Parts: sequence; structure tokens; C-alpha cells
Amino acid sequence: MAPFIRALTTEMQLYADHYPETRFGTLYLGGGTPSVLDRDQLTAVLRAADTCYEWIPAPERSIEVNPGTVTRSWLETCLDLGINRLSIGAQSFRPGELVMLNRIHSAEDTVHTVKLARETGFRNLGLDLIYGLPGQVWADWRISLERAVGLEPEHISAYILTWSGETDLGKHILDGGLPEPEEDHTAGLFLKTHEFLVKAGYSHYEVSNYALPGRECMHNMQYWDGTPYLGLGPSAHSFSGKKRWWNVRDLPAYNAMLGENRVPVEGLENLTDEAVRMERIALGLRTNRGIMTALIRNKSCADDLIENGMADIDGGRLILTARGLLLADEIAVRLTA
Amino acid sequence: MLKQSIRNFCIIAHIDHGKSTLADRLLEMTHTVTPQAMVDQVLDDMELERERGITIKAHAVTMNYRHSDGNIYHLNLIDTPGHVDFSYEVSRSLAACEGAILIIDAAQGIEAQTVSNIYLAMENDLVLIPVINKIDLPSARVDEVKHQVMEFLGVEEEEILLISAKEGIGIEAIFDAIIQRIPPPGGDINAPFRALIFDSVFDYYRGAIAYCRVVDGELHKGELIKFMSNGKSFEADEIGILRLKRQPVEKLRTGEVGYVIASVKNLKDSKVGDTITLAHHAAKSPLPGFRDPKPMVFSGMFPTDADELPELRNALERLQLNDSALIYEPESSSALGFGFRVGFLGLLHMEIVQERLEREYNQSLITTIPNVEIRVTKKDGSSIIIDNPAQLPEPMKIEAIEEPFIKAQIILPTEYVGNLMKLSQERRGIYKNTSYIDKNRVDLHYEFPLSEIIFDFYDKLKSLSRGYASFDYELIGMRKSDLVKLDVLINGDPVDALSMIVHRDKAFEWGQKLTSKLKELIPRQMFEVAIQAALGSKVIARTTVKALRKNVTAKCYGGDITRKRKLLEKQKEGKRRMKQVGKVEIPQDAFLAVLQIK
Ligand SMILES: Nc1nc2c(ncn2[C@@H]2O[C@H](COP(=O)(O)OP(=O)(O)OP(=O)(O)O)[C@@H](O)[C@H]2O)c(=O)[nH]1
Ligand SMILES: [Mg+2]
Repeated sequence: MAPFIRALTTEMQLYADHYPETRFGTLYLGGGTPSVLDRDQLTAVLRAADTCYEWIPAPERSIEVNPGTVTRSWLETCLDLGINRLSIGAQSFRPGELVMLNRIHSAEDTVHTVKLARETGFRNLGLDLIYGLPGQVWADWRISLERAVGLEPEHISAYILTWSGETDLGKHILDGGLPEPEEDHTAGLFLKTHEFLVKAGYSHYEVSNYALPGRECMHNMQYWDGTPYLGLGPSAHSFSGKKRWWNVRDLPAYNAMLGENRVPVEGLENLTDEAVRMERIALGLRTNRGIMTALIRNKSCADDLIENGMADIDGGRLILTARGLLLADEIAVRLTA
Repeated sequence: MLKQSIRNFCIIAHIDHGKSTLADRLLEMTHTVTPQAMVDQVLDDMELERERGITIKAHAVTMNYRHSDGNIYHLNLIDTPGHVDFSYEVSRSLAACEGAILIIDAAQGIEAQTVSNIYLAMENDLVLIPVINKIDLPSARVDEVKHQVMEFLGVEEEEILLISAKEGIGIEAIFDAIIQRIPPPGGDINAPFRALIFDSVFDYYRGAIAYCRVVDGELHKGELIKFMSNGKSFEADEIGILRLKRQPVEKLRTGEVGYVIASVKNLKDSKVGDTITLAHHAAKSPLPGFRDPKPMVFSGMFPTDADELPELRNALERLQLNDSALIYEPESSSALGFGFRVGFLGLLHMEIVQERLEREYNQSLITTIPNVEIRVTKKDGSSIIIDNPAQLPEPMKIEAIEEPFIKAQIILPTEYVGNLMKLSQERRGIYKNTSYIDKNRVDLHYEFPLSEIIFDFYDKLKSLSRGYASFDYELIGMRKSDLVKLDVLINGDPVDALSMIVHRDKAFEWGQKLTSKLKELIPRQMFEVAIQAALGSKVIARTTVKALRKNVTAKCYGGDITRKRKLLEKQKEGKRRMKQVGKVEIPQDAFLAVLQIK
């Protein structure tokens, strides 16, 4: 067995007795490229998950895949192992943009992967897209959106590009080779995206996430509503409700620690009540469930938001509108102040 | 200690002429500092002094010197600051001395504060020892400067000492001059004890510590002392002399400079300028105190967090012990809440006070636009002095406004006189007369409104003269001017803390500059922010800070949450340093925007 798979399954075993009362509801294989795992490796991982933990019936199990990298038989194995949701990293349907983003796949690869997944029997597909690219105008971005919607995925994640000087793209922007995306313009794209996808029948349930009714990613929702989770693998983060801890980043270190049957934890933080409250607000604001108004100390700020069309009150909860979502971080700081 | 063996003197000069460096040499040659403890300008021990390379506080230190005549002398040295804003430190130091070493930079010659310090020393009847320093510099003009000094002070060539404080050249002769030329202190050892408090410091555990010069009699440790201004008595728990640190002694005698610690917890009881005497054997009359400092500029100081008002009051009270030029009184602003109106001797003083409050007393402050004091005569004939633009009466009630004028002395090489003329015209200056220091240097006298010179006049002067001009000024009184109040409105609401009083002819220009500077300083917020400048109801400049459109993290999953929360905490901390005015958050430094205007 590959050292990493051995380490990962060891880690699962180390936590096996920690959750006697818990039935796990979702599983998400992501971060990095899990689709490079071959069928045996995948089987080993899922078997370990099944033996180490209790599961609810028919849990949501997702895996991230890159377009054009998976075969029919691999997808069939996934289904056999209870993986019932694919998150496909389409990014864009425009060749120039894919080059800019350093992606080796094509739009056709995405189309093909979706088709293959449907044929294999996947009923729950998500497409990941990126926009707000240097020089990108609405007409450009709309092409990708239209093609994405045309594939009828249950879920669409549309992320605004975040760039820094450490990436190739960022370096290119800094050295003037590419125009720097302008915030106001990107904000415009965000609002148009909202309008477009809502019209196409998707609900905007988190800043960057849209889904057909009932097809929200349950796994991700739990990050935002404060449900505890166990993260496994290098750099993975876990949350118990009161504590957060995270694993070492470095793969050799991760493997080595598990070789000695030690949990590969690098850091841990105990959350104060104030920190928990801050997270509740910051994360809740990102979703269409919003936050309980009781959490808000700065009431006049909330009133201003409502008055200015940035938020609504519904069932004792403050929920941001699309314009409000664009300022979610700013609003979180103001409401926690 | 015999009076005959004591010499009290201070070192005075224009900025940077080398006072503290000479003090270093004197301390070294008297073995007052160990070589290990020696650093350049060792007396400048305040963090701010070291960072800025200038002296801010006068520093007193006692040295023992074995002279070639075989006797040991006790030399009490006070190193003084050179910057105009700290001249109050100099004038108080002089009162503790019989003599002064006057340093003149060999490359710069006599400059404006050289002149003002000479006058101060003369007023106090001090013996002056003229010393030309930095003779090692290639640009030194020793002969020329020697003639300036002879001319100005009316002294003989032989009386002038030539030294390099940095290289340690000619220092021995300074000791000879101190001992031979400066008289030992006067005073009567048999008279009731009297000592003049010329400085003080706050000590967290021991209360106010008074630095004083004993004029008559003697004080023993443990005796009951009395402050003559308020009649309050305290036991002198500890008395001592000032070495690099305080050094306790059993008694302080006539002529000596030292300190008294008497558990004075109510800081107002121990005032600089007061006379200490003995409770049971009191002197009849106090020593002459000090002229009250005359603040030149005023600004508001407010705690960023309104709850911290009492801490700010404490901090000001403590700082005032050590900075007796500082004055303050409570004020309230509709925009900033409760705080203090603080008076300063100049902008550098203001900056130093602000920094000391922040560093030494941990205060988080908002300082508002500085302004000068003005006198308003109302239509009903009454008149008031105001130091805060917000207090200006309605225009219809005002008969006349007067503002302080100063007499300025500017010394500079003749070739820059043209440039100076131009600047003084821009600043509403009135030319008075010229005299010559020597054939290349002139001493020009002008009158200016104080408000025209407090901001950046000195910087401008320096740059128009390639650094050669120096400048000194004193208040000469109030004169009528056509002044108006310039208000700043944020989203339509006037923000009193941003108002300023300006000359009518300059109001438009100030309005433009101020609004565009504020636009730079106020960050984009959730709503558009309109910034206007107005004279009464007439808007004369406007600009807007566009609304912030986007501030959201695109991806926020399990692994991003900790980082995200930390970021929010940091932003929250940043917001705490902003002041909420209406719905608008204004950063601390925006209230001083005016200082950043070029
Ligand atoms: N070349 C040379 N430089 C000197 C001499 N004496 C002082 N300096 C330099 O002049 C600068 C100012 O010296 P200070 O001793 O700090 O001057 P000061 O008069 O105490 O200045 P303030 O207290 O700020 O008024 C420093 O950079 C010194 O190193 C000297 O004899 N020769
Ligand atoms: Mg100095």
C-alpha cells in the first residue's frame, strides 16, 4: 500500500473510538486532487471510513475531480463505494481563460466528464467556476455560465478570483502583463452572476455557491452552521464545537508521524465564547440562512443594512441580499463590534 | 559639601550644535559614567530622544572633578534642549545655575536660538562661557564665527574656547573655565532651608519626585518639608543627588542640585516653580518661581475609546509633572465626546506629548487639528479668548476677531533673502528691519500671524535656504484679522473636531486641500461618504469617497475558518482605532489631516 494511504487509514483508526455516539452524515474527498487515487486506493480509504465510523443511511459522499482525468470504471468504483456526488473543477469554458489559469483541460473535457458521470449513474454533480479574471467582461463570463447551466448540474460554485503575488497569475498582474481586476467591476459581475443563476433556477445559498432546490452541498453547509467535523490528511482542519485543530502540512512529516501511531496534529486552538460568536456571525452571514438577530450587538448597523437593501429580516434571522453578500466580511466586522 | 567647591551650570545652544555631545565628554572625563555604560548623547535617555537624535528634556547630573589646583569640585551640569518648542526647559534650567556654556557650531555660526538663549542667560545674570564646537569639521569657519561671537557678546578673543566635542579636543580648558569663571553659588547656609523646584518626574510607586536647587540652608533626610505655595507638609523619605541615576544622600546643602522624594501622591501638590522649605523652620518668603509657559497652539486630545477618559486624565496629570510646559483643560466635542483641550509650545511639542502619552502611558488618542488662540469681540462689546474653533460665536454676533502675532527673527545667508521675502509674503508677513551678523549673514526681523508659522513655516524656511536659515520667535500680541471658520461636513453633518479658523483669503484654498486630503485618509465604507468644506452655510469644496463595493472572501471552508476569524479580529481592532462619526468611520490620523497638507 502506498505510504500515504497507509498513513491516512492509520489516522482514521486513531480517531475511531473518539466518536462512539456520532453517526457521520457526510464525507468529502477534496483538497489536492483525490481523483489521482486509483481504484484500489480509493477502496482502501472508503473501507477504512466504513469500518472506523458509524454512518447514517445513504450519506452524502463527494469527491473532487478534474475534467478529463477519470474513466468510466473509476466512476463506477466510486458509486460502488457510496460516493454519490462529484465536484468537477471546470473553472471556465473559454480556452484563453483556462490557459490564464494554468489549467491543462479543455471545455470539451468538462463536457465529456459530465456526460460520463451521468451515464455511470451520478445524480448529483457540481461544477466549479472562477470569474473576475484579468480583463474579463460580463459577456465573456456569461459564456461560461451559459455552458455550465446547459450541462444541467445540480450545483454550481462560482468563485471570484483571489490572487496574490505568489501565483504565476498574480506575478503577471503585478508586472503589468495582465490588467488588475477592478473591485467595482468584479462586484458588478457578482451581481449579474446572482441574477443569471437565480433565473436559471438555482438558489444562491452561500457567497460562492448555487444549487437546485434540495441539492445544496450538505457537507459544506456544516462548515457554515457550526457542525463539528473531522478532517483527515495533511493540513486538514477539524472542529469539535469548542476546539479547532489542524494537521501538519508536510506529507513526509504526516506519513512519519502516523508511522509512529501519533496523531499528526500541528496546532490547536480553544475557542473563547467571543470567538465562537464571531465565527457564527462571519460564517452565518455568508449563507442564505443568515444569523440569528440575537447575536447582533450593533443593532443600528443592522438597521442601516436593511434600510440600504443589503439585508432582510426573516423569521428572526438577518439574511444578506446579494449586495450585502459582496460586503459580508465588512459587515461581519461591523456586526461583531 | 563646601559651597566654594560647587559650580552650577548648564549647556545652551541652537539645535544640534553639540550640547549633549559635550556633556558626554564632561561625564567621561569626570568618570561619572563607566565606559561600558557610555553611548553617544548618554543623557538623552528617553526613547524618543534617542530615536530622533534630539534632546527633549533638560537633564541634570552631578560630576566630581579633581582640578589641577588639587581640589575636588562638584559640578552640577544641566544639558538643555535646543529646539524652540522646548525653550521652557531651558529657562527653568537657567534658574538653577550661576553660569552657562554657550556652544556655537563652527560651521553654522550664530543662529536664531543662539541669540534667544544668550538673552535668556543674560536675564538670569549668568556667566557665559562661549565655546566654538565642531572645529574638526572641514566646513568649520572658526575665525569668522569667532568674530561673530566677539561682536555679539562683546568678549575678547581669548575668552572663546575652541573645541571638538566629538573628537574630545579642548575639553580640559572647559573645566578650567567653569571653575575659574563661574562663581560658586551664593545663598546662606544658616538661613531657613529654601529650594526651588525646577523639574519633576512621576514615579509609579513613589509619587512626585521634585528636582530642586537648594538656595539657602540645608535639608536632612527624614525632615518634614513644606511646599510654600499650598502650605502642605510631607516627610522627606529620600533625598539625593542626580547622577546618571538618582543617588540618595543624607543631606542637601546650600548651592546643591538634587531631588526630594516625599510620598506626594496628589500630583498637584508638587508644582514646578514652587519653593520647598522646612515645616518647622520655614523661610519667610518663597523664591521667585517661573513665568507660566505660554502655549502657542492648542488641539483636542480624545481617548479613542470613550471609557478611557479617566486614564487619559491620569496620564496627562503625570506627564505634566515632567513637562511643565503642558497645559490642559476638559473639553467636549459633539463628534468625539469628552476629552481635553491641550496647549503646546509648538507642533514638535505636540507631537512629543502625543507620543509620550501613547508610549509611556499606553493611551490610544485622537488628536485634532491644532490652532492658535484668538480673541473675539462681540457686537455687545464683550470679548472672549477662544482656543477652539468650535467656540467661535455666530458670525452675526461678531464685531471683530484678533489673532496672535509674533516677532520673528530669521538669520540666514544674504543670498537667500529673496526667497525669504517671497515666503513671508505668502504668510502675511510684515517686514521690520535687517541687521548684519557679518558680511554674509543677515538677521531679519518680521512680524507674522502666529497661525501662519506654526505648521510648516520652518520646513519651508529650511528648504528655501538649503538648511542655512534659522528662526526664532516670540509673541507680541493680538491684532485684528479677517478670520472665518471653515467647517467640514461629513455626509451633511458638521464635524466640530475638523473645523478650523483661517484667513478669509485662504479659506477656499484650505477647503480644497482639506477635503481632498480627507478623501485620501477616509477609507471606503459601505455607504458613500460626502465630504464638504463650508463657510457658514456656503459650501466651498466638496468631494466623495465612493462606497465600498466588495469585501468578501471567495472561499471559506473548514481549513479557512481559523485564518478568517483571526483576520476579522484584526480588522475589528483596526476599527477600534477609528472614530465613528454618524455612520462614518474616520481614522485617527484624519483629524490631523491638516498637518499632512503640503
Ligand atoms: N563633527 C563634529 N560633530 C559633532 C561635534 N559635536 C557634536 N557633533 C554632532 O552634532 C550632532 C548633534 O549633536 P548633539 O550633541 O546631539 O547636539 P545638541 O546640541 O545636544 O542637540 P539638541 O539637544 O537636539 O539641541 C550629532 O550628530 C553629533 O555627533 C563635533 O565636535 N564635531
Ligand atoms: Mg542635546
